[in-house]
Amino acid sequence: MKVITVSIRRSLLSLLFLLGIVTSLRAQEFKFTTSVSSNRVALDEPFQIQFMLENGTNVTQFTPPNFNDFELLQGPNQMQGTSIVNGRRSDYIALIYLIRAKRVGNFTIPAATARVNGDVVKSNPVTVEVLKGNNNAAAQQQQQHQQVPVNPFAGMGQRSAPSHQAEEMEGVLKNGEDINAKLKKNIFVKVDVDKTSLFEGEQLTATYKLYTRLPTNASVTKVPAFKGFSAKDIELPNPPQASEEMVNGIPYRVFVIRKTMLFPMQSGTLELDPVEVDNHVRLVKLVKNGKRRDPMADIFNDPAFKDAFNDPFFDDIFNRPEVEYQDVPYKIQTAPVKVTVKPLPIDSRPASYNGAVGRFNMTATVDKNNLSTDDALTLKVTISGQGNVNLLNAPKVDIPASFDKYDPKVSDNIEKNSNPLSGSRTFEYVLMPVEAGEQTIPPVEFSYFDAASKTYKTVTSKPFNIHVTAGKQTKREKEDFSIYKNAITNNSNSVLNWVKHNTYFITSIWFYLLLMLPLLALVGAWLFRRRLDYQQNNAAFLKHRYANKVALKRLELAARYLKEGKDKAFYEETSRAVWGYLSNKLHVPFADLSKQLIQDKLAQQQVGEQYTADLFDLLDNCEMALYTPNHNNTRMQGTYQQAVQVISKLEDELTRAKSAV
Amino acid sequence: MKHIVTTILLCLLMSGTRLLAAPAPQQQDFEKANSLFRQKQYTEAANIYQRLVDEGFDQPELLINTGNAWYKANRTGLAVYNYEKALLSDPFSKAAQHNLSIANQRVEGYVNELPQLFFQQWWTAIKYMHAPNGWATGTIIFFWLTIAGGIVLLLRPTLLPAVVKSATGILGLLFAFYLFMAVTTYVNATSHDNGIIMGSAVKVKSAPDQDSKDLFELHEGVKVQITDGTSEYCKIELPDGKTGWMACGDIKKL
Repeated sequence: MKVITVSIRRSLLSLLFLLGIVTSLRAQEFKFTTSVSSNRVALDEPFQIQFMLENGTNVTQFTPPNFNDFELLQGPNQMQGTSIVNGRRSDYIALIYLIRAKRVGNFTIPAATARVNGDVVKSNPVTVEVLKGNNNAAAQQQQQHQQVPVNPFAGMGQRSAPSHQAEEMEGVLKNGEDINAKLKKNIFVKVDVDKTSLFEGEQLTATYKLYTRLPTNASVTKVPAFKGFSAKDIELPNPPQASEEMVNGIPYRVFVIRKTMLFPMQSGTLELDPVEVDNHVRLVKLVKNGKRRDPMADIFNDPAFKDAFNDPFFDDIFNRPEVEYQDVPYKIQTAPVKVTVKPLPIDSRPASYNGAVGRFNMTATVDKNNLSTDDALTLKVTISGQGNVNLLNAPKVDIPASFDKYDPKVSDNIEKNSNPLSGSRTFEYVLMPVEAGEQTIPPVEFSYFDAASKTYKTVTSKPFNIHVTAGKQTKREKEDFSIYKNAITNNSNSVLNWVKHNTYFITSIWFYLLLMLPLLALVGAWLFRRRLDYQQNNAAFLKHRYANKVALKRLELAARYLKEGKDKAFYEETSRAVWGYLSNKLHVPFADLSKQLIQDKLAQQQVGEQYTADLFDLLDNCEMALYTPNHNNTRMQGTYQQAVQVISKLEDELTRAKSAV
Repeated sequence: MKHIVTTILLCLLMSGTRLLAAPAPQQQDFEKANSLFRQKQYTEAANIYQRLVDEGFDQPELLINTGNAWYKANRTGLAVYNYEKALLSDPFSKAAQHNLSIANQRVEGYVNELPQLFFQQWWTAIKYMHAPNGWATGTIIFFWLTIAGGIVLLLRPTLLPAVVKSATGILGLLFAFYLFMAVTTYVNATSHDNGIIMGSAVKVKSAPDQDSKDLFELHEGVKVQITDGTSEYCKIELPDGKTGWMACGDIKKL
C-alpha cells in the first residue's frame, strides 16, 4: 500500500478533511480495511493495528472490534489525509491502536464496523500469530521508531501531535503510579561537553540534549548566556532529528536543543549556565470502569461540526471510553557544568601572539610591487585553519613610516556548521606610499597556540620589496584648504655659509687675555700717574732731605771726631766742612774765601739775613773753641747740631733761590 | 722676475677658480639631499641632512630642510626636533614656526605651550640681538673703551673731564650688560634642558626605576623639559606642569 501521509497542523488538517469530504468523495471508491504492522509478534511486544476508511463520506460511527486477547496500550490515534496513488486521489481516515498480546497463540481480530453514508460497513478480520517473548523485541521496536519519527520540537512552543509507539507505551499512566517519579525517570535534559579542562581560547563543544521516553511538547524557556565565553551556535537541522541513545540500558529518544562551540575568554573555573525546558507531557490514563459513550455520535451530530475539530478533545473523539489523556506541565533544567580553563603559558609566548588558539596557516600577498606615490597597494593577510577563527585579531604588521596605513578591512569565510570551527579570516591593509624609492615591507608574523602540542607556533611570510616611483601628487594638493595652510614650507635650496657655531668665544683663553690686557694698561697708567703726582707734590721735601744729606756727608768726619772726643780735630773739621761747603756752593776757590765775600755772595743769592748770621755764629764758635783749651763735650754736641742745621738751611735757601731765578 | 709674477698670478687665478668651482663639501651634500627630497626619497634625504646637523651645523635653512624631510618620511619626532633646533638658532623664523605647528598636529598628546608675554618677547629679542660670540666680542670692545676712558682720565685729567667721565661711565655700564648677556646666552646655548620624545609610546614613571608606577604615556614628538636626572633616568616636566621620570634614551636633547 502506497500511502503518502501528510502530517500537518490540525486546523489545516480539518480543513483538508472538510474539503476531502465535500469535493472528491462521490467519484472515488470506498474502502474499509484493517491492517497490522506485523502478523507475527512476540508476547509483550506492542504492535499496531490500523483501520483505514478510504473515500468514506459522512462517516458517523466507528466501532472498533473487541480486543479480547490483547491489551490496549494506546489509541486510537487518528490520521486524516489525502493520498494520490497512480494519479488517483483518495481521502482517508486512519485509526491506529497500539496493542499487545496477552497470550501465546493464533488470534483473529474481528472486523471493525462503521456507518458510512448511513450504511454499516465492515472491515476485514486479521489473524495474528503470537510467539513467545524473544530478544529481538527491542530491535523491532527500534524499527518502529524509525518508521514514525515525530518530533516534539517540530513547532517549538506549539503543540504538536505526538504519536510514537514507544512514547505512547511509556505514556500510559498505570493506576497508582506517581506522575512526578515517572516524569523524572523518563524526561531529562543534559549538557554534554567534549572536554572539561582546556586552554583559554581553545574550542569547547557544548551540546544540550533532551532525553525523553514520553510524548511531550517542549519549549526552551531559558537560553544559556555563556558568561566568560565567546559562543558560536551550530545550526541544527530544522525540523530537528531525533536519535536513539541508551541510558542505563533504557532507550531514549534524544533531541538536540542547542549545540554551541565555546571559546573561553578568561582562565579559571567557568560554569556553563543551565538551560531550562518547559514540557507538556501527555499521559494516558487508564480508567477501568468508565461510562461507555459514543464519541462519533457526539461529534458528528454536533451542529457546529467544523468547530468540533478545534476542540481540544478532538484527539479523543475515537477514544475508547476507558482511556483518558492528561497534559502534565513539567519544567526541567540541566545540571550546571564546570569547566576548568587553563591560562596560556606566558614564558614562551612570542611577541607576535595575539590570541589565536588552534591550528592555522597564514598567507600574505601584496597586489602590486611597482607603483607610484599616487597609487595604493593592498596587503592581504589570510589566516585559515581550525580554532577560534571568529576571534582572530589582526596580526601586527610593521608598516614602514614611508607608507600611510589604514585600518585593515576584515572579512570572514567560516565554514558553515564546521566543528571544530574552521575557516579563514582575511585582513586587507590599504597602504599609500608617501615616499619614492625601494621600500621593504617587513615579513608578516602570525603566532598561534597549538592546544594539542601545548606550544606556540609562528608563521612568517616573506618580506615584500616594493618599488615606489614619484607620482605627480596632484591628489594631495587638492586636499589642502589653501596653499601653505596645512603644508610645510618648501625647502630652501640656497647656498649656505657652512660655519659651525659650536665654539664659544667666552670660553676661549683669548677672551680672558683680551680682558686682562687693558687692565694691565690701566695699571700702567695708574702707576705712571702716581709717579707724576709724587714728583710734583713732594719735590720740596725731597730737596730738603737732600740738603740735610749734603750737610751730614760734609760733617761725616766731624761726627767721628765728636764720638772720639777729639775736640781740637772736631772743631777744625767742622770749620773746614762749612768752609768747604760754602766754597763748593758759591763757586769760590777755597783760598779766596772770606767772611765778607761769603756775606756778599749770600746776599746776592737772596739768602735770608738770619741764615748768614747763623753761619757766622757757627764759624765764630768753631774758632773760639779752637783757641780756648777747655774741653766740653756738651758744647761739641751743640756745635755739631748747629753745623748740620746751618748747612741744611743754607742748602735749602740756595736751592730755593736758584729755582726762583 | 716676470716669471715669478706670472706664476703667482696663475696660482691666485687657479685657487680662485677652485674656490668658485668646488664649494664646501657640506654644500654638495646639502644639494644632493635637496635633489633626493625633490625625488620624494625623503628618508635618504633626511639621513644626509641629519648627518650635517649632527656634525654641528645649525643653519636654520638646513634645520628646516631636515625637519621637512623627516616630516615627509613620517618621522614626526625627528621633524619636531629639527624645527625646534631651527627655532633655537633663529627664534623668529616664520618657516620654522609654521612647520613646527604643522608637525605638532601629528603629535599625539601635544600640549600647547603658552605664548610668550610681551616682556618675554622683548627678552628673547634682546638675547638674539647678537650671537653668543657677538655678545662676548662686544664685551671685549666695551671693556677696552671703558679702560681707555679711564686711562684718559688718569693721564689727562684736564681734557674735558666731565665729558670723558660720563662717557666712561656709560661704556662701563654697557660692558657690564654685554658681559651679562654673553654669559646668559652662553649658558642658554650650551644647556640641554629641553628634549623631544623619540619612542613611539613611552611610559612615564613616578620614580626613576623600572618597577615604579606608570603615570602617563608620552608619544613621539612631545617636547619636554628635563629638570633632573640620573645616568639612566631623566625627570621631565611638560608645559602643563605634569612631571615624571623616564628613560633618558627615549629623549633626544635639543
